[in-house]
Amino acid sequence: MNNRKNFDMDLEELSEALVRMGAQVTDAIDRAMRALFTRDRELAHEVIKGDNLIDEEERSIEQQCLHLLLRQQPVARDLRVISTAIKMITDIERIGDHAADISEISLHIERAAPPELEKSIMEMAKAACGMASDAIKAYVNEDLALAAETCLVDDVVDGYFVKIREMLALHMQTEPGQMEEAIDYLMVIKYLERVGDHAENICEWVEFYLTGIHKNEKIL
Amino acid sequence: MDIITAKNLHLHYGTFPALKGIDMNIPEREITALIGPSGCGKSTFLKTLNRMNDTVRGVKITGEVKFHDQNIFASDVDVTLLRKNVGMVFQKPNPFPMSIYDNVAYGPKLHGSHKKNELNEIVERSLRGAALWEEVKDRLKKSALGLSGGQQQRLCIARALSVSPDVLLMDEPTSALDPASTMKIEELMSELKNDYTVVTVTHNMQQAARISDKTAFFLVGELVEMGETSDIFSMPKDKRTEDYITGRFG
Repeated sequence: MNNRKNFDMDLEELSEALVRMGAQVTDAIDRAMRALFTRDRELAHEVIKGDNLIDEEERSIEQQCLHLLLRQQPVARDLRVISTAIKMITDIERIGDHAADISEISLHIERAAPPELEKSIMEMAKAACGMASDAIKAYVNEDLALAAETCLVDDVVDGYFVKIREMLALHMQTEPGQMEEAIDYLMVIKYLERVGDHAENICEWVEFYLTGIHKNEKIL
Repeated sequence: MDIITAKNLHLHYGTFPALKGIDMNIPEREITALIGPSGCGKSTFLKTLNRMNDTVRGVKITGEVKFHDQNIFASDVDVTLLRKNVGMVFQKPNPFPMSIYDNVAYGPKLHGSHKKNELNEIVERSLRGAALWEEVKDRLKKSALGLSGGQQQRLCIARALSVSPDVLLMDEPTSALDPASTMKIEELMSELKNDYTVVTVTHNMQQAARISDKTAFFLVGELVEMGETSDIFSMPKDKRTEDYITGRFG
């Protein structure tokens, strides 16, 4: 088998690893939210523990990328795909961290959130998580349009953040005894808002991979 | 500013078209790398720039190559003078079987310099220019054939420099050298562009990316694409360029 075929297979493996890591973190967010609203402490502990696996995957992909840089000395599209992977995994890993952060918080929350609040937070989580999974999909399918559309969803996530923060502020006034929970939920939505930001970062790297342009600047 | 311009340059070896309408501007005091698979015409193009192809039987050239705005194929062009101004370094180091000193002094003597002081000065300046002086200054009278491959290649560069050319053509100058010698020649090339225009043929993509300012990609006798090296190796415009530099063919 020639070197190019081997290289193509390595790139295929890299892409599969990114999809795997992407699925790990979106699943982690999903389970963290479930643990939060069902008071499932066991599930929360699983999510926290599972973050180590995500970190290991990040390290493994990082090594794959560095080996490819060393051995193949890639240029053009090959260079962009590998450098994009290196940048993307940092954001993907941070999404995994936020899932663990949310689970840590859920361990302290004793009381159920008011239904309207819970519904809005779940919707926000769904939007943020959808962004993360679409960002990975845009990378794998080399879909510039999907990357651009996904970036726009960040405004929706930010909108949820503002709306829920207001709901929480009101809740704190009307239920001063639930101040601590309200602060915990505020942190949860901040983490979800960050998930949206990381997904947007991933989309921006997808744009770089496909065009050489990152945030309107040609960097390669 | 461009020191060499080729316009609609065609070259046939007998009936075989080796170059098909090449248009290229070579900027002064830069390194231009010519890349492409074997048989693509890049070495033929390089040799055309100082009319080294004149001696090939059955060669037919049409179109124009201008050096300093003068057509090098014009009947009144002194080919020896052209080759003095547009020097050549080959793939395999080819020192003459004579002393280090005489290798470098050979060209200047041919062009009329015979005074010992003048020749001494030229030899030292050329060997310094080729980053070889410190290594050979105590054995100038020894045979050039006793030098290592990398030193021999730098001697050949010194020999080319000794007649004060404007342009240095290099045909895969490091392909026969080990990595350390290759690195020295590459460093030297980067220094040479302060005073000379360098046009080099290379099969080593990393080398082209490392040292050249412009890169030209040839394929079956055509110039597919030429541009800033950083652009060619990051976002080439033509898919054939991308496929070649990423090793999909050639």
